Amino acid sequence: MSLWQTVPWETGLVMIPLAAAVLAFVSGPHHRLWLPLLTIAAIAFCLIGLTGQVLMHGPQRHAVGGWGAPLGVDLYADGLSLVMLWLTAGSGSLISLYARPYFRHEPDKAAAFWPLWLLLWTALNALYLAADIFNLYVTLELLTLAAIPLVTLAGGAAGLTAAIRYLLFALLVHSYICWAWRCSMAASAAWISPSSETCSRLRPQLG
Amino acid sequence: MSHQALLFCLTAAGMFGIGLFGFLVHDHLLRKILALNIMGIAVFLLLVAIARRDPMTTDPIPHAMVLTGIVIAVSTTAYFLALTRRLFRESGATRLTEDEQ
Repeated sequence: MSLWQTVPWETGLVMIPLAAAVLAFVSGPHHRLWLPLLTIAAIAFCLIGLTGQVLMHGPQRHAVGGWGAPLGVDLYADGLSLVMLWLTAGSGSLISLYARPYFRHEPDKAAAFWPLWLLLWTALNALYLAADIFNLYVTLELLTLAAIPLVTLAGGAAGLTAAIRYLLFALLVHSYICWAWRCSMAASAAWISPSSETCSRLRPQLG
Repeated sequence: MSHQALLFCLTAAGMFGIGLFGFLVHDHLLRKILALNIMGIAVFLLLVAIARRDPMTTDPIPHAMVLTGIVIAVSTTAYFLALTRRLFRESGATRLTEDEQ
């Protein structure tokens, strides 16, 4: 029972779809059913473990690789993260199960779709588990970069035009996000990426 | 904040505005991505200018964040150029056209 509670399930939620995306890219267009099913099962397993941990012990913070907050990446799981993770896992499972027969007659599109979709799932999970604003920015970038080739899968010049439009808007908005969190760093005098605890220091100064 | 840092911050704000103006005004896709790069570099300049915890020493951690941002900017620029080249090869267009309704 104690092993179940001390294992950091958050790392599995980020690493499993990432490893599956790499495997999908390497194994090419000849796809079997085991890769999406195994990914869904493993993510559900990690989610159940993480839900048990958060319900019993409160919000969990895990430093990936043992490296701490300023330079390393922290994964922070609380109730809101869990809700979003379950939502994404639920709809992601349905999408994965539907996508296999959808791309049955187009193997080269399927070869492009699976790594991209699994990378998108990785970026979403990492976004929900991000502990500070810098990680939010980086995972939002990952989300954009994973979603744009999925837009080009529609094909032809129309798909490319839509993808370029999406990328232009996304880069513009990301510049604004960057500017905003750097100003918030300066205002909160944190000088490192403000996590949710240091951002609460901004509140007495507003209004 | 020292006068030097203030000057850098104002320059960064000016560059951000110039980049935004260029992005909104130009139609050609290559000019749009150049303007977006100018906006990105303005943000990095802001972070480097305010990266100190006490007036004597500079803080290396925001510099690491700037490097991460530069990597992200380079990869998105490369990605955008690949998409633009593909669009040019498919349809001969270098400007995004309006949607036909």
